[in-house]
Amino acid sequence: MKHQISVGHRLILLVAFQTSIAAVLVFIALRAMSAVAADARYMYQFQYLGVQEIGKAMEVAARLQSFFATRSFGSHAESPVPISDVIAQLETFYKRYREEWETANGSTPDAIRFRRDLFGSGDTGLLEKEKKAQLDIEESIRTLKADEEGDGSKTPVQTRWSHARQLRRNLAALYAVNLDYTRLANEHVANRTQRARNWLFTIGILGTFLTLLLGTFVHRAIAPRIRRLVTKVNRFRDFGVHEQNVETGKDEISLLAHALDTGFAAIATRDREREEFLAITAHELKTPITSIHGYSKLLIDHPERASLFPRALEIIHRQSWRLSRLVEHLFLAMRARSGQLHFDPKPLDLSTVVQHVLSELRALISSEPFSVNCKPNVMILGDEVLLEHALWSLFASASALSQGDLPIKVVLDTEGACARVTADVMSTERSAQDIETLFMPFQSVQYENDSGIRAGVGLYLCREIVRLHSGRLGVRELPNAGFEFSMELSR
Amino acid sequence: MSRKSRPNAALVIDDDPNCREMIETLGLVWGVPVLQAANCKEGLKVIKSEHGRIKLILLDYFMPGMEPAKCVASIIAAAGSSIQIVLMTAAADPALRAAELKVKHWLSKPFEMSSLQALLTA
Repeated sequence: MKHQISVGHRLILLVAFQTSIAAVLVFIALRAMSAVAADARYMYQFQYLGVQEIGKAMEVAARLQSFFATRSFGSHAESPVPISDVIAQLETFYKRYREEWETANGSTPDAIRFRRDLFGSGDTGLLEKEKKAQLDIEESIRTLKADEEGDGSKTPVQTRWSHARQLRRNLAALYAVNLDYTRLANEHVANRTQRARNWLFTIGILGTFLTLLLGTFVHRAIAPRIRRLVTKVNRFRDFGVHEQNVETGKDEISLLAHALDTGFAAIATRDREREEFLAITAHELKTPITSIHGYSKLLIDHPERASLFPRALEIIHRQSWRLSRLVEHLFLAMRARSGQLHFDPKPLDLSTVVQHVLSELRALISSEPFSVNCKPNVMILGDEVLLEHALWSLFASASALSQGDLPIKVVLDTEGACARVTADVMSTERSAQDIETLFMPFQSVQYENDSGIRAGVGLYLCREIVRLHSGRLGVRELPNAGFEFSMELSR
Repeated sequence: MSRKSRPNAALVIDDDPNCREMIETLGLVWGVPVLQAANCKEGLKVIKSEHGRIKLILLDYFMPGMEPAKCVASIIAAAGSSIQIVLMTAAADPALRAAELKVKHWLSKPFEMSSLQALLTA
């Protein structure tokens, strides 16, 4: 499966989607809250306040009716408020009702909205009742006003009481209509609130479901692949098994898988090289032990063969020295790896060191593998022990890599402030590039030549020793099928 | 009717001169003539010239100048079935190496002298 969309983009998409859902929910919640607040204002100002004011007008009308009733029973008490003021009060109420609370013909936004609601719910009969109640109230007020303006003494008190009662009844009718209005308005508001709640719930559930679905897709696109990687890492850790990864995409997990692949391949290669190195090293160590073991056994089992003793002891001595040299070489290579190579420079003659190392090697090889041209008295500042090891591994490697019968040409010369040791090797099978890998740790040479000496531990130690001497170890191809090792040291 | 002498010599093919010399010296002590060859090519020459004398070939695994499989195949072809071939190796897995080369007998370096004596004096 190809994964082209990056993990980061998947997560951004998921977060963006979740944020969108949250934004929609917040938006709907804010709208619902605004609607609830608007409904609360509407219910109070348009419905409850209207009902309350009608109630007050009814009280005024009741007091007026009560006053006329008292007068009709012969009382001569005066009204505490002039009748004309009471009528003016009722006129003011009626005018305010028409402006602020009338639904049937009202032009306020609340009236228009409520009218729409009434049409929506089919309760238009109330509008007619309201119109009729209004006309009746208007007529009653006009009659009471005419009674008062036409000199109250001309209209019998009984009649005026009857007009006041009619006004109170008309107000009661309007009150009843407005109570129905309030009940219906309350139902409409409750329905709207319920709808907003349903919307919030639906969007919330849908958003949660879609978020979970998208999260699951993102999870499926990431988690199994990470689990596969972890399994691979664990298998590599436990069994050293490196399996080629199957990630073919271009996202971060694929990149991580490729990086792990490269790392594991490098570790596997390094392990293989280390195993080969250990096998070669063990081989190198066992070779001198074979001679030491065999000759020592000969001396023990056949003490009467005195004529064989000098040669046997000589070989035991030589091979034990070779063994010691190999062990020391490994020890120094390990110290070099940890950066703890001890360096103790002193003035020395490099030509003497080169000759000494070559003589040691000659003793281990049956044929003469070297042709030597050493400039005498090449004084340098160096660590003699380390340089012996460096030259030993350089010449041994050259011997191991050499093909054919031509000897290795060793030259020591000076060039300005530099002493230069070169070893020319005839070989058609290896390039200088191949040879350079021997400078890395845990590289080894398996010999394929006729002269025989093995160089098991490569040239890593040699390179590190030369580096300690601020020198340079290199290899270059020769024009006539071969290559040249060169060791340059400061004089 | 002339009586033909039985082959009694061993041939050591090993690039390590000290190992060859050691086996020759031990052969001297045990009364077994030991022939030497430093590599596969030399060994083939010795087998050709001394075929009738050789009863045993001690062959090092790493044969200079020739791959082990090729070397062993050449030695077996030159020696024929009458000469026993024993692989000597300082490698960590001698049995595996011997099996790869289809050689039945092997000695792991450093070997027990009694094992070598048994082979030479058999």
